[in-house]
Amino acid sequence: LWAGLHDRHCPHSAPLLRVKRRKRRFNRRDIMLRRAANTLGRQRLGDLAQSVLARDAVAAGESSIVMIRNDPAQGIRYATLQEVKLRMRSVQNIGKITSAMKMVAASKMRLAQLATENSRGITYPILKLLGDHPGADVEKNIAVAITSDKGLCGGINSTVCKFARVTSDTTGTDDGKSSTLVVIGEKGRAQLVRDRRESIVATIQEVGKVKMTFSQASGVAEELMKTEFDVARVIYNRFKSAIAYKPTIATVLSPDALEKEMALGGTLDSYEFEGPDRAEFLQDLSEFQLAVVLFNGMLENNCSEQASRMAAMESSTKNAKEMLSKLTLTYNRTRQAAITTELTEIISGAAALEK
Amino acid sequence: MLRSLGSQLLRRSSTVQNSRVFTTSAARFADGGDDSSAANSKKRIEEFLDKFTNFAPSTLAEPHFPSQFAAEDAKVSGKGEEEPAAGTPEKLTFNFYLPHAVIGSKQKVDLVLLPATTGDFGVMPGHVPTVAQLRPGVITIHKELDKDIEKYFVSSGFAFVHPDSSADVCAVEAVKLEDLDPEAVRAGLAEYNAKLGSLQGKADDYEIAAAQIGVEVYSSMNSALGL
Repeated sequence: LWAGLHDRHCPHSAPLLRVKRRKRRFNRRDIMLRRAANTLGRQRLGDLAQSVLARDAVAAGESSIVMIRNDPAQGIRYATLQEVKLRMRSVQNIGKITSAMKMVAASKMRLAQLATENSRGITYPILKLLGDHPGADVEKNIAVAITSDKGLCGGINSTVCKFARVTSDTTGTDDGKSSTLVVIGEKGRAQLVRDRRESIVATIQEVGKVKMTFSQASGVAEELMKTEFDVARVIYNRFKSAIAYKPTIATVLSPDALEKEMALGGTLDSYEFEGPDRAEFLQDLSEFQLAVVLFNGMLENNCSEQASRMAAMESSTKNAKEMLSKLTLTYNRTRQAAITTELTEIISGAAALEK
Repeated sequence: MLRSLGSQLLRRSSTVQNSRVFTTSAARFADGGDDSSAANSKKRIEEFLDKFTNFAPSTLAEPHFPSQFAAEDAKVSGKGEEEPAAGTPEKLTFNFYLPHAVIGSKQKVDLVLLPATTGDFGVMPGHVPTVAQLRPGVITIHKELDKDIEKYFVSSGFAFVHPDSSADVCAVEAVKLEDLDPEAVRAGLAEYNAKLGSLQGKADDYEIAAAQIGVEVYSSMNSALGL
């Protein structure tokens, strides 16, 4: 309970309080209280009188050394009433903050869900025409990982980063070099830069900070085109419901790679081309597909992020409430024990004097 | 340019008994062009997953792919595949998508007129499979031939006509023709004409191209509104 407000059994919660390991200065009053409480149950009256005397001696300044009896080990620290009260207040505040964050995330998710479902439609015709080729074997592969900029959103970013690492390994060169990575989002960058620094070729941040638009996605697509990839695999979390999301890999082929795949069997040959010639058309279509896939991927990931944040904040609020109830019990117990020992001291002292 | 429109007109005249003079490519794909591409996708996905699991830690779940979701959504909304019709269906299945909206999904229409870069062409059930790049212009949807007509101005995009008499239009931006403001269109056209005029001769290709695009879009809006 004292080490940090972290529920080890819940995957969603994060450490809520970082405990500062400061040097603890023992308050004399605490020590006396604690000693009195200890001696109550275990010793006869005589010793209790001794401890009372010892306290008076310390208070009078005669003895500055306080012997702490029955303290099994150095490291056990007992919190004072005041500390418990402070902790209770901070846990309560945290509970309020996380509950507010959860409601904000819920409303954002509802909005995002609408935009996400609207953006799915445009990906289907291109998929129907060109097909899904995740395993295209080409020279230059890039893996685009779509993550969030803000944290406290559960496990979505680590999921995408895991898949990005594996994808970049799977599509790497034969001599073991992984394919390049492009990271969208600050959280993904922070994770991937730790072990894949040399693979990362670009990071893009604060996309959709104001509002996610197709022109932003086109801008990102233009940046990606500069890497001159043959196949781009976009990894994001597809929104399924408020409690479920599915890590998805969407593949976009460059015209050359597309022709190669089509040669292996595809229906594109049966279509007539109205417009520019086949090569130019496929170039335009590939760029359009990249922009559309990125737009859809970023919206889906945003929606999944809000849903995941909702779940994470919900469990944080729940943990904070549990912790608060435990702290309240401890507080009351300690307070009552202190009162009891005070009373006992007074009464026994008075009784001793009477004798 | 107008040859397909011409052939459409010819086909319209023979629609009376619903008999087709031409053998369209629908017959060739009668056993399911879609099925084969779906099966292909599944096979390719499996191959990729085999390679993937070599590098993935055992605790990592399998990734998903958009084609799987597309199939699911089609099943959910489409009530199963329509049986490949003997001959051509009566109506065209028309889908109209924007990146941020779905204007129409699986609408049954009679005729759609599309502005391709090489010229306008009309799509009716049984049209030969085509892929077209659209120029800024007007898409006319005849839900009932000559009776129920909707017009949309599109900025650009792509149109696909599939062998199963379904047409997809993916446009970057589309607005109903009624929603265009004539004043704004006139003002925009004047502005971009001026911009293009002032940039002529200066070297920046990007800016000149942007101004040209502006002029093209606005003048096509102009002519669409009949100004």
